[in-house]
Amino acid sequence: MIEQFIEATRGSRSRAMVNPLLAATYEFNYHWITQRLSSMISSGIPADMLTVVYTPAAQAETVEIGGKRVIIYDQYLGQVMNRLNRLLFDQAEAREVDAYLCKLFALHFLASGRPAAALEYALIHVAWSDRLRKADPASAEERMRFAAVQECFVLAHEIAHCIVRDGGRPAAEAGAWWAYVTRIEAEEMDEARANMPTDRIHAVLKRDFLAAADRRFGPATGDELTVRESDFEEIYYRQVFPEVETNIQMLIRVLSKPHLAEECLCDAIALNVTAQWAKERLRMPANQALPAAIVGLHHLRLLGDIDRYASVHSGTPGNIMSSKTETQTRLSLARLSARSYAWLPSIIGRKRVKQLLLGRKDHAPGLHKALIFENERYSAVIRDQLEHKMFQGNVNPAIEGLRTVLGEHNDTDTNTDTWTRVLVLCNLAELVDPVPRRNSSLLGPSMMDNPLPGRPGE
Amino acid sequence: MDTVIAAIEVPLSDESELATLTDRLRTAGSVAHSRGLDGDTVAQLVLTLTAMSLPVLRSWLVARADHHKSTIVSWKGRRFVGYSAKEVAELTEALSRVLDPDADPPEGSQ
Repeated sequence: MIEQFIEATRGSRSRAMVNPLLAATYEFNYHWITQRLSSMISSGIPADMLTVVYTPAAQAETVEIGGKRVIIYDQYLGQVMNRLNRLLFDQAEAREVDAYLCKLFALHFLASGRPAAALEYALIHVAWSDRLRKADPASAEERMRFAAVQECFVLAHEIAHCIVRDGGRPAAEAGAWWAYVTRIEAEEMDEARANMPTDRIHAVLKRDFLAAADRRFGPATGDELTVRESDFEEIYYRQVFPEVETNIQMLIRVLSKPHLAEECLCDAIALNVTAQWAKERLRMPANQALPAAIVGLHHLRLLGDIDRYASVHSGTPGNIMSSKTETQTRLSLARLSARSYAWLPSIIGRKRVKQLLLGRKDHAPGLHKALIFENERYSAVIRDQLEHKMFQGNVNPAIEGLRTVLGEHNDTDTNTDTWTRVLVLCNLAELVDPVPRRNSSLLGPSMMDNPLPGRPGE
Repeated sequence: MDTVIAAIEVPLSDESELATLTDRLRTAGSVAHSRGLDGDTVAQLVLTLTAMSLPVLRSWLVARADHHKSTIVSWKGRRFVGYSAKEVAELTEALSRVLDPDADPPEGSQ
């Protein structure tokens, strides 16, 4: 059954192309996490098996079919997170970030069944590929450890869902305890925020907005600075700031939605077990592993936003980022959960439980600062460009220019050539699934020599 | 006759409509519940399609599109979205090309 599901949704090559060494690593981690979580909050086997695939969708999912529960992990997700980590570690310029994001947009339009739009982003990705720098070998080891932690977090999140869905008593107790501990963190953060003057919040938001504009357009002075400050007030601050809710309000909202509460609980469980995994497998302390895992959640939020955009747009200009998505809420609560990551009573012991009940906490040294650092780095390098529509401001004219050059072309969302072109342009030709067609080979010379649509000879 | 394994995806709330489809097709299929990292669960009917199945599938998809219900059909790892009658027509045309590569395209489809 699961074989047929994968054949239909991921393609017949999705398993053949998996790197066997990586598959063995994921299998090992799957068993490690399952065993550890079973000892903490479950007594059964959460899933029947793990299946590793390699597809442009780069998505992990849990499937129940034919009485079996299967976790599908996508090797390409690890590669995407590793590439995004590189942008962060290298403090990539906005133009380089744009070039890589175009590839992600192309692949998510493809995964959303809109290859004609995917092709436009893929073409721009190729046109801007000279902006992509090679990896800095100096940071390679740290990046790999970062990505390993993020992949562990994704697997742990899926396994946690299986345990929570089984509805056992230990998992239910863990849920109640998580809500209690998170409330303490939320109150503490709200108290700190309440002591911050309103104009201080305004100043921080303005600083970040202007920094994003500087990265995109260079430093501004005089009239240009006045224009940017006006943009901040009119376009961003007035729209976004009134929507900011307190952490307690956010927690209450989450707890009132069972589906969202389960997501946040599973994030918290995954953070907990990821910190243990990183300590034992990588000798990485919690104050490094947890920020890495939170960056992983940032990546997932980014991919989720792109996916949502690709699902409802046909490649036309529009607002890509939504500030009120569930993934944003998950991220905010996960940051709180990370602060008190060792919150499960079965881990911390009775003495610590008593301390927590009395409101005393001892975060990992440096953890709070590390979380803030990663949050600010992610915003500065990747997020703010999308949040403030500067990415769209750069890409949309390029897409419109492309349409002017190419004119009306015949690519439709069911044209198999278009799917192939996108994968080839995105450097994923090995994932092209053979589809028999009349009178042409799959990767015929005309397509490989001339991947642009609508040109003579195709 | 060629066959293709396909997954017909609908929101979980529409799962009962998948049973209508298997009844009309007089074929057994397996329903999968899948949940991605975004937390949304969807129902997917996995079944083997033949060229004979296509007219039934087409009318079922058109009926859903008429009620403004979206359906996603995947085969060979490719997703095709059927939100409108036009998209359903394109989708089934693409399926027929896979199921019967030597057949002439229906009039008006190109």
